[in-house]
Amino acid sequence: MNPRGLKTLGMWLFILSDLLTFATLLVIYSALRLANPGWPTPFSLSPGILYATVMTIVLLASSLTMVWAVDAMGKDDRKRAVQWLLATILGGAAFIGLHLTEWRHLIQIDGITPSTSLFGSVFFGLTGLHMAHVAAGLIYLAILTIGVRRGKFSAEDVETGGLYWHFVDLVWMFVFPLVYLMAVKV
Amino acid sequence: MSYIAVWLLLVLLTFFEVGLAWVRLEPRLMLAALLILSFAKAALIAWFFMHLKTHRPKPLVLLIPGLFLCIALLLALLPDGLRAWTLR
Repeated sequence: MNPRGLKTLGMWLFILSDLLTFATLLVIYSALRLANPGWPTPFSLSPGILYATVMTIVLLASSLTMVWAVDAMGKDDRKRAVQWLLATILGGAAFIGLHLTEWRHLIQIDGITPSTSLFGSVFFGLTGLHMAHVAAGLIYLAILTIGVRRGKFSAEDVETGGLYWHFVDLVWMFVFPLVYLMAVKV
Repeated sequence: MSYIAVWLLLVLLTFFEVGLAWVRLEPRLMLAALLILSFAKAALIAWFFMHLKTHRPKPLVLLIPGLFLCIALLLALLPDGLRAWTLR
């Protein structure tokens, strides 16, 4: 096959394997959720769910800017690509900042930690794994941005980075409803 | 479909999910509804943002064996998964 597609293919293979990790966690979470009638429901609609909704939209927006970065690289417009990459990094950083604030709120005010309950374990396990992916993505994007700015990296390199970033976004599309919306305070 | 339109659709679906939480469906029904919406959103992201739409067919074909392995693994774990429904 054409060697040009190999990088994106490699990323697709990684995504598929990583998807299994998240799928396993999400299935376990959902099964435990349904099997436990007394499941903790710490998220009130406001501010809890509202906050997580904002986080979701921020992450979705960073996916949109990433698409534009890939588009700009496709047109060989490196300057614009760097701008959109920086916007994507900003979105990702905002997501982590909001998420950490939410974690702190849960730990300090609601008293939920990874060791207090089954809910705490799976909640921090799932969202923590996702946040680690976002953090790794930020490092990945930072390296891409610096490289693109210096005239290195091809359009395919940026597209490969984009695939990873969209994947992280895609996983959140499952984490948000299954973890947050299934634990709304009644 | 333009990227902005896809994004707006994703945001709209997110609000719809939050709306489901607002009316507080019964958990099993809620889970089913959320899963359908989540897969729709994931498909939108993969199809448009991850360029599956315009992806040349070759790399995708190579992913099919992996898909079968995923399905095989899911089936292998299904008995345990079903047991979890009745776990207390």
